[in-house]
Amino acid sequence: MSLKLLMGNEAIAYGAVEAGVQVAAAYPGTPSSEILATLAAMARDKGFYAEWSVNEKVALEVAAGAAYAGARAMVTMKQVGLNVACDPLMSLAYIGVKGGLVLAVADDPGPHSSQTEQDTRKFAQFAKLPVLDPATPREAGEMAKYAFELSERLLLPVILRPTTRTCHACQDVEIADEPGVPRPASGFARSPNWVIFPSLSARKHPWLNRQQEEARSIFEHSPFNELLIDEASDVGIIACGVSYNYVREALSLSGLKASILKIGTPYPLPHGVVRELLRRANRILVIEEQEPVVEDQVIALAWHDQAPVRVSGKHDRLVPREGELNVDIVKGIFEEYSGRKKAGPKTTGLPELPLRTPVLCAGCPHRASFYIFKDAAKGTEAIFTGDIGCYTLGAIPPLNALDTCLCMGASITIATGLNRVEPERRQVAFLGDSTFFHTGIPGLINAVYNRANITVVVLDNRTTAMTGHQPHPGLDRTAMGPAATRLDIANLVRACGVDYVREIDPYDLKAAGEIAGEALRHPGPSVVIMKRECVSLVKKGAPYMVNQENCVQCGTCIEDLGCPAMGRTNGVPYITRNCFGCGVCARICPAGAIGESEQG
Amino acid sequence: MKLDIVISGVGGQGSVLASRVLARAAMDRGLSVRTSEVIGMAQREGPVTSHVRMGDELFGAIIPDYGAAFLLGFEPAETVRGLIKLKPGGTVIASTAAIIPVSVQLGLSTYGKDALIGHLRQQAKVYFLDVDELSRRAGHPKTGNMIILGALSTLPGLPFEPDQLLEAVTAAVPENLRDLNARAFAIGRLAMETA
Repeated sequence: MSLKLLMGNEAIAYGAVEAGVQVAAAYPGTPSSEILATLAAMARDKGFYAEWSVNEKVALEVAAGAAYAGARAMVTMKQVGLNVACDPLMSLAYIGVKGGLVLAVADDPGPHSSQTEQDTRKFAQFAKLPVLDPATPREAGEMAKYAFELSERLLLPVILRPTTRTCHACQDVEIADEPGVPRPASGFARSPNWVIFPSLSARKHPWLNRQQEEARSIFEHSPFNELLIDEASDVGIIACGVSYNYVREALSLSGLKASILKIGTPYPLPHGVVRELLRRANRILVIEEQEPVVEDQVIALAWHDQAPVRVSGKHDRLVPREGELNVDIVKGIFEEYSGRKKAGPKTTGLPELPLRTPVLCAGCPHRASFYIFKDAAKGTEAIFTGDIGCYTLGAIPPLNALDTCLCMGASITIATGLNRVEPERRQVAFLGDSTFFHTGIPGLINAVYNRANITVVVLDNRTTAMTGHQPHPGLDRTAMGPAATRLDIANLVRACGVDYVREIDPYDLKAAGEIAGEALRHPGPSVVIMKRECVSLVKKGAPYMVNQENCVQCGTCIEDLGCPAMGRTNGVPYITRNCFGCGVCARICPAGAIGESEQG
Repeated sequence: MKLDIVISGVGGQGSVLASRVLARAAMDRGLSVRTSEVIGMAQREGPVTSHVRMGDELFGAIIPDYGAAFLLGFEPAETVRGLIKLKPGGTVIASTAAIIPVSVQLGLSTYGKDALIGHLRQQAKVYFLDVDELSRRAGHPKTGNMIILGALSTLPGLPFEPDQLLEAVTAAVPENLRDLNARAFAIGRLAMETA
């Protein structure tokens, strides 16, 4: 064994490799992306297969196919990705698997970088699948390894649900010097049990329900659940996943005494260990983030047993159902629960702090694309629909370029729906190259088939930028190396039946502006592909500077672009050393006062 | 033994690397470690905070309010934002190099650097470093993280010696950047004599 500093996501990947994973698939999404990135980096060396799939549904089905053939397979995604993969997931629970299939689904309470705070433990319950909830990176690795075994024992997919504070936390983690070798897969064996007819589902449903009880009884002896009895206290705290850390630390800070039940297997909740706590304590407090998944099961069990206990948590509004927990919040909960409220020290007289939000990078081609279309649509009632990616930041000032954003691929379809109601307005949908492959294509085909008068702008920056620059089918590489083919977005769009397709460089404001105007006037669906690489992938050009003599201080450069490489003192704009050299500000300056700096 | 360190800054300043280096150095001394970082959307010029915890028995990665012995401030406004994590009597090392957010250029908020620096001075024991100038001396604008680690290494209360922290720095960066980072570390140490 050797000791490594590992992020939770890396620990999960190492756990899967130790378990002998043979196939891994994923679509990137914060906070899950580093799991597959770590697996992909090890895949060749360890002799297994890893891919970035085009979306989560595809990834899950690829992994399921591998598991049908008896291989150990892992699929990873963020919580909203599971919504996309929900269709195969629900049916897969009935069909079952042969090789171990583990879904690592990262939740993001807060949320830090997600559209929802949905609780995947609830999803697991809905799909009737067991779920593991790690408290630390180390435990996440152990659970990943164990989940394959559990999956093969139950013949069901198993969900591992870390949260951001495990995924992106690092810990000293012991890893095996000789990680597991991929086992030979037993191969796919034909059987009517792989074909989901209603008659099969009717037969399998009782089996699936029995597996819930089987999983529950396996979890009775799981080392991921741990009961620490404090004989001196009548209070029992049940803590699930990452909340366990906050409970331990808040207890030691507040000097309170309680028995603690750590739960790492929230569904199906083992009854024996909970009953043991109910016998030892009559005041039960359940601390978990997001939904009352454990709390509801504890209440049901206590009611069933007619146990003389009072269960507190989310239902009496003691524990918040929204946002993350932390030591301070849990300490506050304890103080309220025990009726002794204490005020901590306070920082006083805080000066006014500047508003600092994430912004598009200096030189980001999306900034130019938004500028171009805003300019082309000036004076019209056009609506700009957005999508998921860095370019969602186009919604904030000063660009204010996006009117909607819902979920992956929805830019095109929301635009289509808006167009049905207000055909006299032009709807313009903005989505990135990776998002286009993810779920943009069906929406585009629908817009063509049903003839929606919308314009689709594909912001093609040659990467999946937001989540850490993963490749996609439009590029010449896969997760493991060079790609056999590279799909051309313009050709795909033409094949979808779009007549008006143009490709243009957004840095070329003049030519792109003319095309944007044409596309907006085009009857029927039109598609413009804005081609320019993400600034994180290419070398900086020569920086620009403001010629103070020519500058008329009109503020156009600052107010129309909001570039983080520009500043202003006493009304006079200047360009900082963060300039990428895109030259967009120089092209929009009405006084021609911005040029390339001489020192280059 | 238990020590909590908070790093406050702006996405892209290298706070993740700094937190990993601190954790690695503590691990090499046989301590348990936790770090927690912000990765994803907030990276792009947004406020970022890294938590580093080291000790014999640790639980979560998030440092409670008023729990950190050291606050490493990579940017003045973000240092003020991070003060809530500092223990009464804790120590701050603060860069004086302001990163003015877009909202200020647009007139949506203001950046009162003097007020921010004055507030820091009033609230805690602070060592101010002119990181802009020091990183110029080191030879690269992105070496602020290593300058501040170098500065930290001069203070008492750490579980590792300065050389051991420097070793963790060199182990964490690519070979061709080792000299640059070591130089920045040394410049940070030197700067503390006059900070």
